[in-house]
Amino acid sequence: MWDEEDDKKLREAAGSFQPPLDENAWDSMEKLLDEFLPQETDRKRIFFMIPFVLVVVTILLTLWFKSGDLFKNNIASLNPERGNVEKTNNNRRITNNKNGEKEIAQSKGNVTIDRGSSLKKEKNSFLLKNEKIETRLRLKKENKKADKNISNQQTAIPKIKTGNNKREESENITDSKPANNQDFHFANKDKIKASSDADTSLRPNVMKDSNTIAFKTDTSKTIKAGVQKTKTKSSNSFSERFNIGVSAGPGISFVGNLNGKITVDLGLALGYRITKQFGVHTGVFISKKIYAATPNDYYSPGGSSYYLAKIDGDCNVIDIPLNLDIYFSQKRNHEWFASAGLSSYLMKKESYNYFYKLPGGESYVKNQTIFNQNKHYFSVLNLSAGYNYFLNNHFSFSAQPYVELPLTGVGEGKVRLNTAGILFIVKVKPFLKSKK
Amino acid sequence: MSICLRYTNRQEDALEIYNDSFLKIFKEIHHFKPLYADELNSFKGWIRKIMIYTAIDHSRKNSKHSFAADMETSLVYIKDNEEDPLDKMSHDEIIQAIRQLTPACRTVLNLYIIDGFNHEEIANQLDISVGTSKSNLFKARQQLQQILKNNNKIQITKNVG
Repeated sequence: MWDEEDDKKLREAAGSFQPPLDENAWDSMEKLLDEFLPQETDRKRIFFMIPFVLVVVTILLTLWFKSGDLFKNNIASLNPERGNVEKTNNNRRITNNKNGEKEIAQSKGNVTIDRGSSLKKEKNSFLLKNEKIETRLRLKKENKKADKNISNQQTAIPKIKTGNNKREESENITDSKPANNQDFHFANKDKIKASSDADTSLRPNVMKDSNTIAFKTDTSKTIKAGVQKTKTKSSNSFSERFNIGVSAGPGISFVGNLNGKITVDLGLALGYRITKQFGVHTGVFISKKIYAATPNDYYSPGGSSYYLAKIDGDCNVIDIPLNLDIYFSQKRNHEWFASAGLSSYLMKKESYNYFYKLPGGESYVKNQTIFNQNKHYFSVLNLSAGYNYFLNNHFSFSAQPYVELPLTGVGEGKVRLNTAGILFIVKVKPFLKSKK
Repeated sequence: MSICLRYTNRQEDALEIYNDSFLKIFKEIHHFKPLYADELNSFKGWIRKIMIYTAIDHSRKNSKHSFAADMETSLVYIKDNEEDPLDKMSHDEIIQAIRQLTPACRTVLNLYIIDGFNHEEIANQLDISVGTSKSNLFKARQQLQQILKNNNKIQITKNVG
Protein backbone atom coordinates (compact mmCIF):
# COMPACT_ATOMS: atom_id res chain seq x y z
CA MET A 1 0.00 0.00 0.00
CA TRP A 2 1.31 3.43 -0.88
CA ASP A 3 1.97 5.66 2.08
CA GLU A 4 3.53 8.94 3.07
CA GLU A 5 6.95 7.35 3.33
CA ASP A 6 6.82 6.45 -0.33
CA ASP A 7 5.97 10.04 -1.19
CA LYS A 8 8.92 11.14 0.88
CA LYS A 9 11.20 8.74 -0.95
CA LEU A 10 10.02 10.09 -4.26
CA ARG A 11 10.76 13.62 -3.13
CA GLU A 12 14.22 12.62 -1.93
CA ALA A 13 14.90 10.91 -5.22
CA ALA A 14 13.79 13.96 -7.17
CA GLY A 15 15.86 16.27 -4.97
CA SER A 16 19.05 14.31 -5.31
CA PHE A 17 18.69 13.45 -8.98
CA GLN A 18 21.49 15.15 -10.96
CA PRO A 19 21.42 14.37 -14.66
CA PRO A 20 24.76 14.21 -16.51
CA LEU A 21 25.97 17.42 -18.16
CA ASP A 22 25.24 17.65 -21.86
CA GLU A 23 27.94 19.86 -23.36
CA ASN A 24 26.04 20.36 -26.61
CA ALA A 25 22.98 21.63 -24.80
CA TRP A 26 24.24 25.20 -24.80
CA ASP A 27 24.37 25.35 -28.63
CA SER A 28 20.61 25.08 -29.00
CA MET A 29 20.13 27.58 -26.16
CA GLU A 30 22.45 30.01 -27.89
CA LYS A 31 20.44 29.77 -31.09
CA LEU A 32 17.26 30.51 -29.21
CA LEU A 33 18.83 33.51 -27.51
CA ASP A 34 20.20 34.89 -30.77
CA GLU A 35 16.76 34.54 -32.31
CA PHE A 36 14.59 35.92 -29.53
CA LEU A 37 16.96 38.05 -27.50
CA PRO A 38 19.47 39.59 -29.93
CA GLN A 39 22.14 41.70 -28.27
CA GLU A 40 21.63 45.40 -28.60
CA THR A 41 24.51 47.57 -29.68
CA ASP A 42 26.10 49.49 -26.95
CA ARG A 43 24.85 52.93 -27.78
CA LYS A 44 26.67 54.53 -24.92
CA ARG A 45 29.96 53.69 -26.57
CA ILE A 46 28.81 55.35 -29.79
CA PHE A 47 27.77 58.50 -27.97
CA PHE A 48 31.10 58.57 -26.21
CA MET A 49 32.90 58.22 -29.52
CA ILE A 50 31.13 61.16 -31.19
CA PRO A 51 33.05 63.98 -29.43
CA PHE A 52 36.33 62.18 -29.93
CA VAL A 53 35.64 61.78 -33.64
CA LEU A 54 34.62 65.44 -33.84
CA VAL A 55 37.92 66.47 -32.26
CA VAL A 56 39.89 64.38 -34.73
CA VAL A 57 37.89 65.70 -37.68
CA THR A 58 38.35 69.29 -36.47
CA ILE A 59 42.10 68.79 -36.22
CA LEU A 60 42.24 67.32 -39.70
CA LEU A 61 40.18 70.18 -41.15
CA THR A 62 42.40 72.73 -39.41
CA LEU A 63 45.42 71.04 -40.90
CA TRP A 64 43.84 71.07 -44.34
CA PHE A 65 42.97 74.74 -44.16
CA LYS A 66 46.41 75.57 -42.87
CA SER A 67 48.01 73.85 -45.79
CA GLY A 68 45.84 76.03 -48.02
CA ASP A 69 46.99 79.17 -46.20
CA LEU A 70 50.58 78.04 -46.53
CA PHE A 71 50.14 77.84 -50.24
CA LYS A 72 48.57 81.28 -50.35
CA ASN A 73 51.55 82.68 -48.48
CA ASN A 74 53.86 81.22 -51.06
CA ILE A 75 51.80 82.82 -53.80
CA ALA A 76 51.94 86.11 -51.95
CA SER A 77 55.71 85.89 -52.04
CA LEU A 78 55.42 86.41 -55.76
CA ASN A 79 53.52 89.65 -55.20
CA PRO A 80 55.91 92.48 -55.75
CA GLU A 81 54.26 94.57 -53.07
CA ARG A 82 54.79 92.18 -50.29
CA GLY A 83 57.03 89.48 -51.60
CA ASN A 84 60.51 88.34 -50.92
CA VAL A 85 61.88 91.78 -51.31
CA GLU A 86 60.20 93.06 -48.20
CA LYS A 87 61.18 90.05 -46.26
CA THR A 88 64.75 89.74 -47.32
CA ASN A 89 65.81 93.35 -47.48
CA ASN A 90 66.51 95.13 -44.30
CA ASN A 91 67.71 98.41 -45.72
CA ARG A 92 64.54 99.21 -47.56
CA ARG A 93 63.34 102.75 -48.16
CA ILE A 94 60.06 103.54 -49.83
CA THR A 95 59.62 107.02 -51.25
CA ASN A 96 57.13 108.63 -53.60
CA ASN A 97 58.51 110.30 -56.64
CA LYS A 98 56.95 113.17 -58.63
CA ASN A 99 54.58 110.95 -60.47
CA GLY A 100 53.30 109.29 -57.38
CA GLU A 101 55.14 106.12 -58.02
CA LYS A 102 56.68 104.22 -55.28
CA GLU A 103 60.39 104.03 -55.41
CA ILE A 104 61.94 101.38 -53.34
CA ALA A 105 65.60 101.87 -52.66
CA GLN A 106 67.59 98.86 -51.84
CA SER A 107 71.19 98.51 -50.85
CA LYS A 108 71.12 94.87 -51.57
CA GLY A 109 68.30 93.39 -53.41
CA ASN A 110 67.66 90.41 -55.43
CA VAL A 111 64.47 91.47 -57.12
CA THR A 112 63.28 94.62 -58.73
CA ILE A 113 59.70 95.48 -58.20
CA ASP A 114 57.62 95.93 -61.22
CA ARG A 115 53.92 96.31 -61.20
CA GLY A 116 53.77 95.13 -64.72
CA SER A 117 50.47 94.04 -66.07
CA SER A 118 51.81 90.67 -67.03
CA LEU A 119 52.89 89.84 -63.50
CA LYS A 120 49.62 91.06 -62.11
CA LYS A 121 47.81 88.73 -64.40
CA GLU A 122 49.89 85.89 -63.13
CA LYS A 123 49.22 86.81 -59.56
CA ASN A 124 45.52 87.12 -60.09
CA SER A 125 45.34 83.83 -61.83
CA PHE A 126 47.25 82.17 -59.04
CA LEU A 127 45.09 83.60 -56.35
CA LEU A 128 41.91 82.80 -58.16
CA LYS A 129 42.65 79.21 -58.90
CA ASN A 130 44.80 78.45 -55.91
CA GLU A 131 46.01 75.10 -57.15
CA LYS A 132 49.65 74.20 -56.92
CA ILE A 133 49.85 72.09 -60.05
CA GLU A 134 48.27 74.68 -62.33
CA THR A 135 50.39 77.38 -60.75
CA ARG A 136 53.56 75.51 -61.42
CA LEU A 137 52.57 74.98 -65.04
CA ARG A 138 51.82 78.65 -65.47
CA LEU A 139 55.04 79.64 -63.84
CA LYS A 140 56.93 77.38 -66.12
CA LYS A 141 55.22 78.96 -69.09
CA GLU A 142 56.09 82.42 -67.85
CA ASN A 143 59.67 81.41 -67.45
CA LYS A 144 59.75 80.23 -71.00
CA LYS A 145 58.22 83.49 -72.19
CA ALA A 146 60.72 85.48 -70.23
CA ASP A 147 63.54 83.57 -71.78
CA LYS A 148 62.07 84.20 -75.21
CA ASN A 149 61.70 87.92 -74.53
CA ILE A 150 65.28 88.12 -73.50
CA SER A 151 66.41 86.57 -76.71
CA ASN A 152 64.02 88.65 -78.89
CA GLN A 153 64.60 91.99 -77.12
CA GLN A 154 64.50 95.05 -79.45
CA THR A 155 66.83 97.98 -79.14
CA ALA A 156 64.20 100.74 -79.31
CA ILE A 157 63.35 101.99 -75.89
CA PRO A 158 60.54 104.45 -75.16
CA LYS A 159 60.95 107.40 -72.92
CA ILE A 160 60.79 106.61 -69.30
CA LYS A 161 60.03 109.41 -66.96
CA THR A 162 62.45 109.24 -64.19
CA GLY A 163 63.96 111.61 -61.78
CA ASN A 164 67.24 110.00 -62.08
CA ASN A 165 69.73 111.48 -64.54
CA LYS A 166 71.65 108.37 -64.65
CA ARG A 167 68.68 106.47 -65.81
CA GLU A 168 67.95 109.00 -68.57
CA GLU A 169 71.42 108.67 -69.71
CA SER A 170 71.15 105.00 -69.82
CA GLU A 171 68.08 105.25 -72.03
CA ASN A 172 70.22 106.36 -74.88
CA ILE A 173 72.03 103.20 -75.03
CA THR A 174 70.86 101.32 -78.00
CA ASP A 175 73.03 98.32 -77.98
CA SER A 176 71.82 96.09 -75.30
CA LYS A 177 73.35 93.12 -73.86
CA PRO A 178 71.93 90.93 -71.25
CA ALA A 179 73.03 92.22 -67.93
CA ASN A 180 73.18 90.17 -64.86
CA ASN A 181 71.78 91.21 -61.60
CA GLN A 182 75.00 92.54 -60.27
CA ASP A 183 75.54 94.85 -63.20
CA PHE A 184 72.05 96.20 -62.88
CA HIS A 185 72.27 96.91 -59.21
CA PHE A 186 75.72 98.36 -59.56
CA ALA A 187 74.47 100.82 -62.16
CA ASN A 188 71.49 101.85 -60.10
CA LYS A 189 72.75 101.79 -56.65
CA ASP A 190 70.46 104.20 -54.91
CA LYS A 191 67.16 103.98 -56.60
CA ILE A 192 65.16 101.48 -58.46
CA LYS A 193 62.06 102.84 -60.02
CA ALA A 194 58.86 100.91 -60.01
CA SER A 195 56.64 101.64 -62.96
CA SER A 196 52.94 102.14 -62.63
CA ASP A 197 50.16 100.75 -64.70
CA ALA A 198 48.55 104.18 -64.89
CA ASP A 199 51.44 105.69 -66.72
CA THR A 200 51.59 104.02 -70.05
CA SER A 201 54.88 105.60 -70.87
CA LEU A 202 56.40 103.45 -68.28
CA ARG A 203 55.73 100.23 -70.04
CA PRO A 204 57.17 97.52 -67.93
CA ASN A 205 58.18 95.22 -70.66
CA VAL A 206 60.02 97.84 -72.66
CA MET A 207 62.56 99.53 -70.54
CA LYS A 208 66.20 99.90 -70.94
CA ASP A 209 67.58 96.69 -72.16
CA SER A 210 69.67 95.99 -69.17
CA ASN A 211 66.85 96.83 -66.82
CA THR A 212 64.40 94.81 -68.76
CA ILE A 213 66.71 91.94 -69.04
CA ALA A 214 67.63 92.12 -65.42
CA PHE A 215 64.01 92.41 -64.49
CA LYS A 216 62.99 89.48 -66.56
CA THR A 217 65.82 87.39 -65.37
CA ASP A 218 65.16 88.28 -61.78
CA THR A 219 61.45 87.73 -62.14
CA SER A 220 61.89 84.35 -63.69
CA LYS A 221 64.33 83.43 -60.99
CA THR A 222 61.94 84.64 -58.34
CA ILE A 223 59.12 82.71 -59.89
CA LYS A 224 61.27 79.64 -59.99
CA ALA A 225 62.43 80.19 -56.47
CA GLY A 226 58.85 80.64 -55.36
CA VAL A 227 57.87 77.41 -57.01
CA GLN A 228 60.78 75.60 -55.46
CA LYS A 229 59.98 77.01 -52.08
CA THR A 230 56.40 75.81 -52.34
CA LYS A 231 57.62 72.42 -53.38
CA THR A 232 60.12 71.99 -50.60
CA LYS A 233 57.76 73.29 -47.93
CA SER A 234 54.92 70.93 -48.78
CA SER A 235 57.15 67.88 -49.15
CA ASN A 236 59.03 68.62 -45.96
CA SER A 237 55.88 69.08 -43.91
CA PHE A 238 54.69 65.48 -44.23
CA SER A 239 58.09 63.86 -44.01
CA GLU A 240 58.98 65.86 -40.94
CA ARG A 241 55.73 65.16 -39.18
CA PHE A 242 55.20 61.50 -39.90
CA ASN A 243 57.04 58.84 -37.95
CA ILE A 244 57.02 55.09 -37.44
CA GLY A 245 58.05 53.46 -34.23
CA VAL A 246 58.82 50.04 -32.86
CA SER A 247 57.96 49.49 -29.24
CA ALA A 248 58.43 46.97 -26.49
CA GLY A 249 57.88 47.04 -22.79
CA PRO A 250 56.58 45.23 -19.74
CA GLY A 251 52.98 45.39 -18.63
CA ILE A 252 50.78 43.87 -15.99
CA SER A 253 47.04 43.21 -16.09
CA PHE A 254 44.78 42.93 -13.09
CA VAL A 255 41.14 42.57 -12.14
CA GLY A 256 40.02 44.07 -8.87
CA ASN A 257 42.58 43.35 -6.18
CA LEU A 258 44.05 40.26 -7.79
CA ASN A 259 47.33 40.89 -9.60
CA GLY A 260 48.32 39.19 -12.80
CA LYS A 261 51.63 38.30 -14.32
CA ILE A 262 54.05 40.71 -15.89
CA THR A 263 54.27 40.20 -19.64
CA VAL A 264 56.10 41.86 -22.50
CA ASP A 265 54.12 43.82 -25.08
CA LEU A 266 55.42 44.42 -28.60
CA GLY A 267 54.10 46.76 -31.19
CA LEU A 268 54.35 49.01 -34.18
CA ALA A 269 53.31 52.65 -33.84
CA LEU A 270 52.46 55.31 -36.43
CA GLY A 271 52.54 58.95 -35.41
CA TYR A 272 51.79 62.26 -37.05
CA ARG A 273 52.68 65.63 -35.61
CA ILE A 274 49.88 68.01 -36.50
CA THR A 275 51.36 71.10 -34.89
CA LYS A 276 54.17 71.72 -32.49
CA GLN A 277 51.88 71.04 -29.58
CA PHE A 278 49.56 68.35 -30.90
CA GLY A 279 49.86 65.04 -32.62
CA VAL A 280 48.03 61.79 -33.13
CA HIS A 281 49.27 58.27 -33.02
CA THR A 282 47.98 54.79 -33.61
CA GLY A 283 49.47 51.36 -34.11
CA VAL A 284 49.15 47.68 -33.52
CA PHE A 285 50.35 46.14 -30.28
CA ILE A 286 50.47 42.48 -29.42
CA SER A 287 50.02 41.89 -25.75
CA LYS A 288 49.39 39.01 -23.42
CA LYS A 289 46.97 39.49 -20.56
CA ILE A 290 47.44 37.06 -17.69
CA TYR A 291 45.16 37.73 -14.75
CA ALA A 292 43.04 36.18 -12.01
CA ALA A 293 39.43 36.95 -11.22
CA THR A 294 36.93 36.03 -8.55
CA PRO A 295 33.49 34.66 -9.49
CA ASN A 296 32.03 38.05 -8.60
CA ASP A 297 34.21 39.73 -11.20
CA TYR A 298 33.58 37.15 -13.87
CA TYR A 299 30.37 36.98 -15.82
CA SER A 300 29.01 33.49 -16.49
CA PRO A 301 25.93 33.10 -18.63
CA GLY A 302 23.32 31.38 -16.52
CA GLY A 303 25.21 32.13 -13.35
CA SER A 304 28.35 30.52 -11.98
CA SER A 305 28.50 27.40 -9.85
CA TYR A 306 28.44 27.80 -6.10
CA TYR A 307 31.70 25.91 -5.87
CA LEU A 308 33.62 28.09 -8.32
CA ALA A 309 36.48 29.64 -6.41
CA LYS A 310 38.69 31.42 -8.93
CA ILE A 311 39.21 31.97 -12.63
CA ASP A 312 42.63 32.33 -14.24
CA GLY A 313 42.70 34.06 -17.61
CA ASP A 314 45.45 33.93 -20.24
CA CYS A 315 44.58 35.99 -23.30
CA ASN A 316 46.42 36.97 -26.46
CA VAL A 317 45.18 40.40 -27.43
CA ILE A 318 45.76 42.75 -30.34
CA ASP A 319 45.57 46.29 -29.02
CA ILE A 320 44.85 49.08 -31.53
CA PRO A 321 44.98 52.51 -29.92
CA LEU A 322 43.99 55.88 -31.33
CA ASN A 323 45.50 58.66 -29.25
CA LEU A 324 45.80 62.39 -29.17
CA ASP A 325 49.21 63.63 -28.01
CA ILE A 326 49.97 66.94 -26.36
CA TYR A 327 53.60 68.10 -26.30
CA PHE A 328 55.04 70.56 -23.85
CA SER A 329 58.31 71.70 -22.40
CA GLN A 330 59.92 71.36 -25.81
CA LYS A 331 63.65 71.82 -25.97
CA ARG A 332 66.16 71.38 -28.73
CA ASN A 333 66.71 67.70 -28.28
CA HIS A 334 63.99 66.53 -25.95
CA GLU A 335 60.38 67.12 -24.95
CA TRP A 336 57.65 65.84 -22.69
CA PHE A 337 54.22 64.71 -23.76
CA ALA A 338 50.89 63.45 -22.49
CA SER A 339 48.53 61.25 -24.43
CA ALA A 340 44.93 60.11 -24.17
CA GLY A 341 42.70 58.04 -26.38
CA LEU A 342 40.74 54.89 -26.91
CA SER A 343 41.95 51.40 -27.67
CA SER A 344 40.26 48.50 -29.38
CA TYR A 345 40.93 45.00 -28.07
CA LEU A 346 40.75 42.07 -30.47
CA MET A 347 40.83 38.89 -28.40
CA LYS A 348 42.69 36.38 -30.52
CA LYS A 349 42.89 33.58 -27.99
CA GLU A 350 41.32 33.35 -24.56
CA SER A 351 42.18 30.51 -22.24
CA TYR A 352 40.39 30.25 -18.90
CA ASN A 353 40.97 27.83 -16.02
CA TYR A 354 38.03 27.52 -13.66
CA PHE A 355 38.99 26.32 -10.16
CA TYR A 356 36.24 24.58 -8.21
CA LYS A 357 36.35 23.68 -4.53
CA LEU A 358 33.90 21.13 -3.15
CA PRO A 359 32.66 21.08 0.46
CA GLY A 360 34.59 17.90 1.17
CA GLY A 361 37.86 19.68 0.40
CA GLU A 362 38.24 18.25 -3.07
CA SER A 363 39.02 20.56 -5.94
CA TYR A 364 39.10 20.30 -9.68
CA VAL A 365 39.87 22.50 -12.67
CA LYS A 366 37.95 23.03 -15.83
CA ASN A 367 39.46 24.69 -18.91
CA GLN A 368 37.87 26.72 -21.68
CA THR A 369 39.66 28.08 -24.74
CA ILE A 370 38.08 30.52 -27.15
CA PHE A 371 39.51 31.78 -30.43
CA ASN A 372 38.73 35.06 -32.25
CA GLN A 373 35.40 35.57 -30.60
CA ASN A 374 35.38 38.71 -28.54
CA LYS A 375 36.13 42.10 -30.07
CA HIS A 376 35.90 45.33 -28.13
CA TYR A 377 36.09 48.38 -30.35
CA PHE A 378 37.16 51.64 -28.66
CA SER A 379 36.29 50.12 -25.33
CA VAL A 380 39.45 50.82 -23.39
CA LEU A 381 40.57 54.23 -22.24
CA ASN A 382 44.30 54.64 -22.38
CA LEU A 383 46.25 57.38 -20.67
CA SER A 384 49.95 57.90 -20.83
CA ALA A 385 52.72 60.41 -20.47
CA GLY A 386 56.29 60.27 -21.58
CA TYR A 387 59.59 61.67 -22.60
CA ASN A 388 60.95 62.06 -26.14
CA TYR A 389 64.63 62.32 -26.81
CA PHE A 390 65.73 63.25 -30.33
CA LEU A 391 68.86 61.41 -31.32
CA ASN A 392 69.02 63.31 -34.61
CA ASN A 393 66.62 64.60 -37.25
CA HIS A 394 65.53 61.11 -38.11
CA PHE A 395 65.56 59.08 -34.92
CA SER A 396 64.05 59.63 -31.54
CA PHE A 397 63.57 57.52 -28.48
CA SER A 398 60.58 57.54 -26.14
CA ALA A 399 59.77 56.15 -22.74
CA GLN A 400 56.05 56.07 -22.14
CA PRO A 401 54.39 54.76 -18.99
CA TYR A 402 50.69 54.06 -19.55
CA VAL A 403 47.48 52.92 -17.96
CA GLU A 404 44.57 51.24 -19.72
CA LEU A 405 41.16 51.32 -18.08
CA PRO A 406 38.22 49.38 -19.51
CA LEU A 407 34.99 51.15 -20.35
CA THR A 408 33.16 47.84 -20.75
CA GLY A 409 33.78 44.25 -19.76
CA VAL A 410 36.63 42.53 -21.59
CA GLY A 411 36.72 38.98 -22.86
CA GLU A 412 34.42 36.06 -22.34
CA GLY A 413 33.94 36.81 -18.68
CA LYS A 414 33.44 40.54 -19.31
CA VAL A 415 35.93 41.38 -16.60
CA ARG A 416 37.09 44.89 -15.77
CA LEU A 417 40.61 44.30 -16.97
CA ASN A 418 43.06 47.05 -16.07
CA THR A 419 46.54 47.22 -17.52
CA ALA A 420 49.55 49.25 -16.59
CA GLY A 421 53.05 49.26 -17.96
CA ILE A 422 55.73 51.16 -19.78
CA LEU A 423 56.63 51.24 -23.44
CA PHE A 424 60.04 52.02 -24.92
CA ILE A 425 59.72 53.24 -28.47
CA VAL A 426 62.31 53.90 -31.15
CA LYS A 427 60.85 56.25 -33.76
CA VAL A 428 62.09 57.09 -37.22
CA LYS A 429 60.95 59.55 -39.87
CA PRO A 430 61.20 57.31 -42.90
CA PHE A 431 60.47 59.87 -45.61
CA LEU A 432 62.72 62.63 -44.34
CA LYS A 433 65.66 63.22 -46.67
CA SER A 434 68.94 63.83 -44.99
CA LYS A 435 70.47 67.25 -45.64
CA LYS A 436 73.71 67.20 -47.57
CA MET B 1 17.31 19.85 -15.96
CA SER B 2 16.19 17.23 -13.43
CA ILE B 3 12.76 18.86 -13.29
CA CYS B 4 12.43 18.71 -17.08
CA LEU B 5 13.58 15.09 -17.20
CA ARG B 6 10.87 14.09 -14.73
CA TYR B 7 8.10 15.43 -16.95
CA THR B 8 9.13 13.68 -20.13
CA ASN B 9 10.63 10.38 -21.10
CA ARG B 10 12.67 11.76 -24.00
CA GLN B 11 15.98 13.53 -23.61
CA GLU B 12 15.28 15.85 -26.56
CA ASP B 13 11.96 16.96 -25.12
CA ALA B 14 13.57 17.60 -21.75
CA LEU B 15 16.23 19.76 -23.41
CA GLU B 16 13.58 21.67 -25.32
CA ILE B 17 11.60 22.32 -22.14
CA TYR B 18 14.81 23.41 -20.40
CA ASN B 19 15.79 25.87 -23.13
CA ASP B 20 12.30 27.28 -23.47
CA SER B 21 12.15 27.77 -19.71
CA PHE B 22 15.37 29.71 -19.61
CA LEU B 23 14.34 31.82 -22.57
CA LYS B 24 11.25 32.82 -20.58
CA ILE B 25 13.39 33.47 -17.54
CA PHE B 26 15.76 35.76 -19.47
CA LYS B 27 12.84 37.62 -21.00
CA GLU B 28 10.95 38.09 -17.76
CA ILE B 29 13.75 38.42 -15.27
CA HIS B 30 13.19 42.15 -14.89
CA HIS B 31 9.68 41.34 -13.65
CA PHE B 32 10.93 39.11 -10.86
CA LYS B 33 10.29 40.39 -7.36
CA PRO B 34 11.30 38.23 -4.41
CA LEU B 35 8.37 37.38 -2.19
CA TYR B 36 10.56 36.37 0.74
CA ALA B 37 13.56 37.79 2.51
CA ASP B 38 15.67 34.92 1.22
CA GLU B 39 16.06 36.18 -2.33
CA LEU B 40 18.10 33.24 -3.56
CA ASN B 41 15.54 30.61 -2.59
CA SER B 42 12.75 32.86 -3.78
CA PHE B 43 14.49 33.11 -7.15
CA LYS B 44 15.02 29.32 -7.25
CA GLY B 45 11.34 28.79 -6.58
CA TRP B 46 10.43 31.20 -9.36
CA ILE B 47 12.66 29.35 -11.82
CA ARG B 48 11.22 26.04 -10.68
CA LYS B 49 7.65 27.15 -11.32
CA ILE B 50 8.51 28.46 -14.78
CA MET B 51 10.06 25.10 -15.64
CA ILE B 52 7.05 23.16 -14.39
CA TYR B 53 4.58 25.28 -16.32
CA THR B 54 6.72 25.09 -19.42
CA ALA B 55 6.85 21.32 -19.06
CA ILE B 56 3.07 21.15 -18.76
CA ASP B 57 2.65 23.37 -21.82
CA HIS B 58 5.03 21.19 -23.73
CA SER B 59 3.19 18.04 -22.75
CA ARG B 60 -0.09 19.60 -23.75
CA LYS B 61 1.27 20.54 -27.17
CA ASN B 62 3.05 17.32 -27.99
CA SER B 63 1.07 14.66 -26.17
CA LYS B 64 -1.44 12.85 -28.30
CA HIS B 65 -3.41 11.87 -25.24
CA SER B 66 -5.23 14.28 -23.00
CA PHE B 67 -4.60 14.31 -19.31
CA ALA B 68 -8.13 13.19 -18.71
CA ALA B 69 -7.79 9.92 -20.55
CA ASP B 70 -5.10 7.40 -19.81
CA MET B 71 -3.66 4.76 -22.08
CA GLU B 72 -3.74 1.96 -19.64
CA THR B 73 -7.10 1.50 -18.13
CA SER B 74 -6.23 -1.66 -16.31
CA LEU B 75 -5.19 -1.24 -12.73
CA VAL B 76 -2.43 -3.16 -11.11
CA TYR B 77 -2.91 -4.20 -7.55
CA ILE B 78 0.08 -4.85 -5.33
CA LYS B 79 -0.34 -7.27 -2.47
CA ASP B 80 0.15 -5.79 0.98
CA ASN B 81 2.58 -8.37 2.17
CA GLU B 82 5.04 -7.74 -0.65
CA GLU B 83 8.11 -5.69 0.09
CA ASP B 84 8.14 -2.08 -0.96
CA PRO B 85 10.29 -1.89 -4.11
CA LEU B 86 11.13 1.76 -3.40
CA ASP B 87 13.34 0.63 -0.53
CA LYS B 88 15.60 -1.31 -2.80
CA MET B 89 15.95 1.12 -5.65
CA SER B 90 18.41 3.97 -6.01
CA HIS B 91 17.23 7.50 -6.55
CA ASP B 92 18.19 7.46 -10.18
CA GLU B 93 16.28 4.30 -10.76
CA ILE B 94 13.19 5.77 -9.12
CA ILE B 95 13.35 8.77 -11.40
CA GLN B 96 13.84 6.53 -14.42
CA ALA B 97 10.78 4.61 -13.32
CA ILE B 98 8.76 7.83 -13.05
CA ARG B 99 9.75 8.65 -16.63
CA GLN B 100 8.30 5.34 -17.76
CA LEU B 101 4.81 6.30 -16.58
CA THR B 102 2.17 7.40 -19.02
CA PRO B 103 2.11 11.17 -19.64
CA ALA B 104 -1.08 11.88 -17.69
CA CYS B 105 -0.02 9.85 -14.64
CA ARG B 106 3.51 11.14 -14.77
CA THR B 107 2.41 14.77 -14.81
CA VAL B 108 -0.05 14.40 -11.95
CA LEU B 109 2.42 12.42 -9.84
CA ASN B 110 5.15 15.01 -10.37
CA LEU B 111 2.83 17.91 -9.63
CA TYR B 112 1.25 16.40 -6.53
CA ILE B 113 3.96 14.40 -4.81
CA ILE B 114 7.20 16.09 -5.83
CA ASP B 115 6.22 19.67 -6.64
CA GLY B 116 3.60 20.07 -3.95
CA PHE B 117 0.51 21.18 -5.90
CA ASN B 118 -2.90 20.24 -4.57
CA HIS B 119 -5.58 18.65 -6.69
CA GLU B 120 -7.44 21.88 -7.28
CA GLU B 121 -4.34 23.57 -8.64
CA ILE B 122 -3.54 20.52 -10.75
CA ALA B 123 -7.04 20.47 -12.15
CA ASN B 124 -6.73 24.15 -13.00
CA GLN B 125 -3.40 23.73 -14.69
CA LEU B 126 -4.27 20.65 -16.70
CA ASP B 127 -7.83 21.67 -17.43
CA ILE B 128 -9.27 18.55 -15.85
CA SER B 129 -11.57 17.82 -12.95
CA VAL B 130 -10.37 17.25 -9.41
CA GLY B 131 -11.66 13.70 -9.54
CA THR B 132 -9.64 12.97 -12.66
CA SER B 133 -6.58 14.34 -10.98
CA LYS B 134 -7.05 12.07 -7.98
CA SER B 135 -7.73 9.11 -10.21
CA ASN B 136 -4.60 9.70 -12.24
CA LEU B 137 -2.55 10.00 -9.08
CA PHE B 138 -3.78 6.67 -7.81
CA LYS B 139 -3.01 5.05 -11.13
CA ALA B 140 0.41 6.66 -11.18
CA ARG B 141 1.31 5.18 -7.83
CA GLN B 142 0.16 1.73 -8.84
CA GLN B 143 2.07 1.85 -12.10
CA LEU B 144 5.17 3.09 -10.41
CA GLN B 145 5.09 0.29 -7.88
CA GLN B 146 4.74 -2.28 -10.65
CA ILE B 147 7.56 -0.79 -12.68
CA LEU B 148 9.82 -0.70 -9.70
CA LYS B 149 8.88 -4.20 -8.74
CA ASN B 150 9.62 -5.46 -12.22
CA ASN B 151 12.90 -3.65 -12.24
CA ASN B 152 13.75 -5.10 -8.87
CA LYS B 153 12.99 -8.63 -10.02
CA ILE B 154 15.25 -8.13 -13.03
CA GLN B 155 18.00 -6.95 -10.74
CA ILE B 156 17.62 -9.91 -8.44
CA THR B 157 17.77 -12.34 -11.30
CA LYS B 158 20.87 -10.60 -12.62
CA ASN B 159 22.56 -10.81 -9.25
CA VAL B 160 21.65 -14.41 -8.85
CA GLY B 161 22.73 -15.30 -12.31
